Amino acid sequence: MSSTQRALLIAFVWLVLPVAFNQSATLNLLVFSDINLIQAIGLSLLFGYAGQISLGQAGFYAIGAYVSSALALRTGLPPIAGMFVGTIVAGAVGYVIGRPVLRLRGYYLAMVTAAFGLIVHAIIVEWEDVTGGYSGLTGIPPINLGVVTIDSPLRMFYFAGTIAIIVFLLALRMVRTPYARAMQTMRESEAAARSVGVNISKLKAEVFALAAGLSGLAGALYAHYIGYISPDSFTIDTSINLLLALVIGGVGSIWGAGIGAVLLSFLPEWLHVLKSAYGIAFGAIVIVLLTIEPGGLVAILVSIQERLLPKAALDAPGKN
Amino acid sequence: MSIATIMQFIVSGVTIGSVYALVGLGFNLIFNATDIINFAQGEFVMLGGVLAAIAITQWHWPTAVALIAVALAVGGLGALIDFATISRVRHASVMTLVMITLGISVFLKTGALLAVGPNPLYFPPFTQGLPLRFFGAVIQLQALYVVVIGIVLMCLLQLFYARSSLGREMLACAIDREGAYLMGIDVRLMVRISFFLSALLGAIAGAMITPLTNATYDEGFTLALKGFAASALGGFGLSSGAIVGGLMLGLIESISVAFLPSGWKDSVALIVLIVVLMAKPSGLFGGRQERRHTEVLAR
Repeated sequence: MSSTQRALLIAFVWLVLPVAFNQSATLNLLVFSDINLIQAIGLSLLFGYAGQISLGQAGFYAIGAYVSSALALRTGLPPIAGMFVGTIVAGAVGYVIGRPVLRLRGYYLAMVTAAFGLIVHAIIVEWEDVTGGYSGLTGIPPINLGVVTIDSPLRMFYFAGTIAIIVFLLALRMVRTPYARAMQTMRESEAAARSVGVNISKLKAEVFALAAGLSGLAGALYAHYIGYISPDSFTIDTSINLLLALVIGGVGSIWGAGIGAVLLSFLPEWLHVLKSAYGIAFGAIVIVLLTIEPGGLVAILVSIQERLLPKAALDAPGKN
Repeated sequence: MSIATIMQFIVSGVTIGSVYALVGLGFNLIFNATDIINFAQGEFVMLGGVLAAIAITQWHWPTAVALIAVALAVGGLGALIDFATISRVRHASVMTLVMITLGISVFLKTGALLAVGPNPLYFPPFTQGLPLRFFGAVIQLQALYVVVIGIVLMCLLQLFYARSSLGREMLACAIDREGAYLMGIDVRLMVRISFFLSALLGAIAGAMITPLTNATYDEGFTLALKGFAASALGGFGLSSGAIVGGLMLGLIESISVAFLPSGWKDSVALIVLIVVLMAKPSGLFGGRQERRHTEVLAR
């Protein structure tokens, strides 16, 4: 079974899941999985493939959510167009700040992107005229596709799910292109990538913009689904939890992003006794897992598969 | 702007700046021993404040006893973190180390949330008394404690490095780890002690400032970024750099309040961080040694 076939099979299973889990609580979490998957894929490309860390994804998530919502509420722009604008604005901001900032690497890049996320948070708290400050924006209209309004969890599941699966398939395709090989070369050695003619700073900024745009898209979907946004949804914790979930799932594989997105959405519910402190599980899992296997769950699954089915190893999902 | 107002800015800037300097020194201690930037550094500060508040207000420990106990406990936690995680992944990639220390940060922060809840914690100043007046500026006694204890700690650390044999061994590790190892210095022990001292400094800083600013479970990450900014501003890996950088950052922050709504205070420090890292990553006083650090940091 090729990787694309496997992806299509899983996509099909994913899309019939609501039949089994139609209780609204689980369905709601499936919708969040769709939304989180979109931004987890962006971060996986940026962090796993291009090797550039970002602790500021919540900033782009916020830009997408607030741009789309504010346009819908204040200018009456249809949400579907607002979503598009939000995605583009987030991506453009990503490109503009990515160009200078990605000259930094490692610890410095982590610090600067974290600072960016915190500054965006401060802006949405302080710029009350547009963002509503601490109380946020309410009454954000649902997405309207002309014939159908995306106003129920089931409809949102299919709408966001379709987008997520398209992004997933495109990402699976993308990671086998020369473009992605340039990203991976850059991750291993910038000097090597430069020596074979890769324009490092352009490539970095493009991947950063792509991840930012996908976070923006996810943010816009989130806002039009929930109908209410406030700064609490876009804190540094949002960025860190996304990154930790991705790392648990496994970086360096688009499949890891899938595991991470589901984990990020369901873990708070599985650990509902802990309330908002569910992050303690993310922290603990990351500490233990990375001390044992830096490749995350995907790497563990692959090594189990290799042990059980030696021949299947060539086609393992982690090798994409 | 009157003299009194300017003095007031200087007083509050120096007070908070001392805290940033201590956090920055904590970053330096671990970095010099391991080349690792510990993203959980701010959690030591948070734990210092939160635990001191619990010990003093709920368990009714005497303030001095509580401070010493909390400092040692958090210091021990620092050493435990090295023992349980960092020492086992010493040769991992930078990204893995970032993720592990981030995991530790989230673990400690949410652990504190579970244990003490989301409300700000507080305990009364070390000693009661009327504030002092100095050129028209009001100086809280607690602020005086923060600055004086901060200076004493910094001097002790310098003395420790300059005079004690343990301190010299640590300094040798910071300068050349392999060379130190070949001279028979127990590098692993030095790393463990660095974690202990780093967490201890952070905890004292957090406890001292709590009567002035309160302590909440989620304050750690921003404090870590500011401490890192202090360190980067002065020149990473340089003790005097962290101190000068911390005081400068404190002053910039307190002066910004005069021109901007207070909600932007944190952003001002973060913008300083971004500008310094972009424009002069080796810091204002960084020489050849700090450029080497910068190369390690930017791997």
